[in-house]
Amino acid sequence: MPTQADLDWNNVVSKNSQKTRRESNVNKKEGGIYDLSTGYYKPKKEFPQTGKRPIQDSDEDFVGRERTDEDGGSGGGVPAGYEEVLRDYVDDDNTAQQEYYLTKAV
Amino acid sequence: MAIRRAGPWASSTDSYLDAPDSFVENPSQAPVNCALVNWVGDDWKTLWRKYADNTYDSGETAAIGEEVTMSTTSGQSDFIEMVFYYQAVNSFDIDLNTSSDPDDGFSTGDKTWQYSTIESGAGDFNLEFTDGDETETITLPASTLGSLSVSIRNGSFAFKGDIAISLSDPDA
Repeated sequence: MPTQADLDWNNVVSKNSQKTRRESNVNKKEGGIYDLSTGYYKPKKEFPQTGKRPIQDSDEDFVGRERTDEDGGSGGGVPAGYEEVLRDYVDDDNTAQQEYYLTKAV
Repeated sequence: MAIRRAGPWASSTDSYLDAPDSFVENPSQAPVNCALVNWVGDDWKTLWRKYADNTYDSGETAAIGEEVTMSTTSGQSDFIEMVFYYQAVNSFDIDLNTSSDPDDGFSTGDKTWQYSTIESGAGDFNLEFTDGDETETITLPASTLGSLSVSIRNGSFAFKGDIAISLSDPDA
């Protein structure tokens, strides 16, 4: 037969559990990170540099970073091993145009 | 389909030559133009040369519409010639303008032009060059690299006087 003290304790634990669950649900809706160790969602973490949430849950903010040559791909400068050259060409209407090309020695 | 620029000068054996530092009497190279318009940062031009009174004058270029003149007092073999290479996605027209101002009557001469392309298209025309101002419209075929050579020469009788020649845009 539980004592009154046991009942009061269980009531406190239950209320705390309900509060934690409610907070977890709010964190989930706001894009919080799921914590495997507790089974609840943690609050979303803002970063002071950009105010944006990182893609990865780490201290480095990848979202606001400028592209570098090492990234490669379009719009990110000249890929390693390539050279950017400006070339003239005759367009379809017999007009003279210029365009940048990426060239690579083979 | 767009055509990558050749030149800036070319010859019959090399499509990617630099402009020569100096010229010889019988130049084998000529500038490469984009149809009738300027390249970005490089104006349209044609090489010209002339032979009058036993003297060559060559190594200059003329802009589109620019007149080159020759005064001759003797030579049956005198001539003015213009030569350029071109690149064009579509065929286009260019005017050959000639004029003469003889000192003492007029002797007939030859007005000739010939074009060729590396795609094997070619044309050769020879007309009588008569007194006064004349314009012939030449249609050049599309080509990744073509050339046009125009000239006026004295014919059977020695012409004495002034002759002028120019190439121009028919739509200008």
